[in-house]
Amino acid sequence: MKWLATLVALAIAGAAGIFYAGLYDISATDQHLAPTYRVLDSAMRRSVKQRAARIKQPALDQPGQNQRGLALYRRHCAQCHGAPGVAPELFALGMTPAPANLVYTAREWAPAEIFWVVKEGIKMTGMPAWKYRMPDEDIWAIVSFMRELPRLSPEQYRAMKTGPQDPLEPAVPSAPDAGRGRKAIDQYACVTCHEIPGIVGANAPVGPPLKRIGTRGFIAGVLPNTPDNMVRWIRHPQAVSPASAMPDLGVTERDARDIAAYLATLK
Amino acid sequence: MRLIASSLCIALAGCGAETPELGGNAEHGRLLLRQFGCGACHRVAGVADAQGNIGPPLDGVAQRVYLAGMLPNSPENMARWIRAPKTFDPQTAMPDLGVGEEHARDMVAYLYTLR
Repeated sequence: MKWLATLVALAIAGAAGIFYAGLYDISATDQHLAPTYRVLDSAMRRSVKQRAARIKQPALDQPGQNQRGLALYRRHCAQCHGAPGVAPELFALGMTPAPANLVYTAREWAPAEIFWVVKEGIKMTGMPAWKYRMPDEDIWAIVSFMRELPRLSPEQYRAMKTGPQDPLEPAVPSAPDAGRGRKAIDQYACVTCHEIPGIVGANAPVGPPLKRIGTRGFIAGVLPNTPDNMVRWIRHPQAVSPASAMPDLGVTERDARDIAAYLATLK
Repeated sequence: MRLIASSLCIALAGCGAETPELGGNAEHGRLLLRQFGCGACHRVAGVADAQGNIGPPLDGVAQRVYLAGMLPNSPENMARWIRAPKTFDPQTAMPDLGVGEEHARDMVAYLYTLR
């Protein structure tokens, strides 16, 4: 058995060597090796299937729903995914994996699976999570519209009229949720400026670290640290401190309350 | 880790590491940070009793991009901020502690060892 142990140790050392020497090509100009791609693609599909199984699908093809889905699709999806007769934008053509062509997605994927992918996104691809920026009703509208896509010729797609576009304002539940706040932090890219305990990411030194922010006396050096003030700061930094480098990220009331709840746990 | 690094940095440099632009004595700066009571509000590695959590920790401040969330980080700006915070942010809770020019240089020299 000693030779097996040696072999495993060598394999691990070899892999570590490749890792540290930077030998694995991570550029977006080349796809993975075919077997790697198949494994990753398969893993992704299985993961989506498993998670989407819990989702209850509402009625689709409701009056006006597909038009709303079209409006949202044009505004948020077509830039990367293209549309019948419409190419994706240049930046999307440079992506690996390339954003899927959605004209036939509804044939291969169940509505709940499409819903899940749009809402939760897919790690390490360019597919973002829309969870914090689009209410469920809108995502279902997109899903409903996508079922029509396979039937549309380029001319028909161009000719389609869009319906009302104003999104529903997401309701604010009564109790802030620190767990949800932790996920919201990922969605607003807070780690691209701040080091935040419990959040994986860049932990960049642009703004101050948020260690012990829960018990810190002042927020941004100017506001006494209370839940309401934290929400106020997160949502409209310039209204509090006009010269601040912290940008207005369009954080919703609900997300700000949840984020404040998470930050309050950092004592 | 940073405490060890900054202590080593100072020890190896003799009596004080100098910031390239401002000069200043880092070891003296470390003592001044204590004497001016900075630790009452800020956690500062290597400064005795500096465990305050009123303002942000100053660990790694040398690498921070913005000081006080608004000033691009440079030795000059750091010294200016320390000496007259309210000229940059009238609402700031950080008081004017009457830090003289030379003392500010020394403090900046120390703070710039905190990577």
